[in-house]
Amino acid sequence: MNIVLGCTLLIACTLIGKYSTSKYKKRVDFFEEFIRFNNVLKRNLHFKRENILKLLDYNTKNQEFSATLKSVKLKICGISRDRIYIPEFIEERDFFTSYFDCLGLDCSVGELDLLNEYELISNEKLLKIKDNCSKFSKLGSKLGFSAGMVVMILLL
Amino acid sequence: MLDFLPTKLKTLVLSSFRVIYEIRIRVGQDLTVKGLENQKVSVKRISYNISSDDVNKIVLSLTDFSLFSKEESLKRGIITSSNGERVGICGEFVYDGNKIIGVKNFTSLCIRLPHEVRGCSETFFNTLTYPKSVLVVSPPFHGKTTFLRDLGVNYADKFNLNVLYVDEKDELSANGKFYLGKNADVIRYSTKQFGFISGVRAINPDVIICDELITDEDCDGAEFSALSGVKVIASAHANSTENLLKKPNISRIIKNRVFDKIVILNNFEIIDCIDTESL
Repeated sequence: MNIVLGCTLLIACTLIGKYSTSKYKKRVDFFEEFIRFNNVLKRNLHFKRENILKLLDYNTKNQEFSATLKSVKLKICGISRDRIYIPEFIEERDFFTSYFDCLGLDCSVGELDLLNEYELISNEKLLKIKDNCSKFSKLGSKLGFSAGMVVMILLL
Repeated sequence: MLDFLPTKLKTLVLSSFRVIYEIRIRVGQDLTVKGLENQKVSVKRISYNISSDDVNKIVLSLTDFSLFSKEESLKRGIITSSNGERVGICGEFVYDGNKIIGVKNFTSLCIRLPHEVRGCSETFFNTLTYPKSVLVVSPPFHGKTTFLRDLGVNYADKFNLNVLYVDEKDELSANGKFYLGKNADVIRYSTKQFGFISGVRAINPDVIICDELITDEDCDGAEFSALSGVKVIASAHANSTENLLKKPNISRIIKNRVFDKIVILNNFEIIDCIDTESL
């Protein structure tokens, strides 16, 4: 019985540790998706020049980024007056808010400058986030496992 | 219809007339709406406090919130909405040398609503025993575009011809809103000269239709098509044949027999039909 309980607690502590540091991976995924979306906008300027509303239907598997784009579209159309949805694990709220607020307000040259600037900044941020992710993301599951082991040993 | 207007403004406009032809929005002034009432065209002024911010928002909405997507139209001073409304824009045009690079501080808008009047060219069309090149002439807002569109449908459906519309401002097709005939092709938002030349080379039309021959390049394109054996149906601004022939580029192509017939409209009705051989 103690073994079963100990194993359960070990698994639980490991999972809690992993979950607490999962935000680093989510941040990486969000930024990578954002950079892909930005590239789509850049390519659009060079060729089709579709409007922003069509581009905001961008197909992404990242649910958080998809929710952000949907909230941007609702705000632009005037359907919603809420702030743009930025996930909790994203600290750079102002960065994304200012980006989406500025889209579509300029000619093609100005728009391209804006997208290039944000691409540069987001690539720099992504490098730092990836670095943090590699340092801390596995740390959580390791600490959780360690804590779980201690609990298990104490139980046994 | 008029989806780019703010809801309150749109409601006011739509409740003014059953059939609306034109809306004028000017910063700091009343709204002006021209429409049909008791079978007469009349104008109403509606009290509404229009700010420059309102006008800026309307222009942004017209471009689907992406100024870059309608950049060239903005620089030409006219945007066609997705429902075919033609919006003329007044504001401050920004130049870099001789080139317009942008428009800012919008001050007024002239919104013209398109109307499809099927059969408006029937009287004229029934006089034709075979396809001819036609120039439709009238002052602005007398039904040239509506007439051209209907004539194009007749050429496509009754003469069974391949009709190419060179739709520089998307007024003829309005993004597919209007029926243009069963054998119709449309080149939208290109210059007329490009449309004529590439159309003849690539689309193999029997007839090319375009609105408003204005520049030398427009007339050169029409002449190129006519000399290539393609019929041309086009329009030009003038209130009489005399004034029409005072325009050097138009006069040149008429004398070069680009057109077989000239149809003069006034208040949406044909007032004269001239054989160019007689000129």
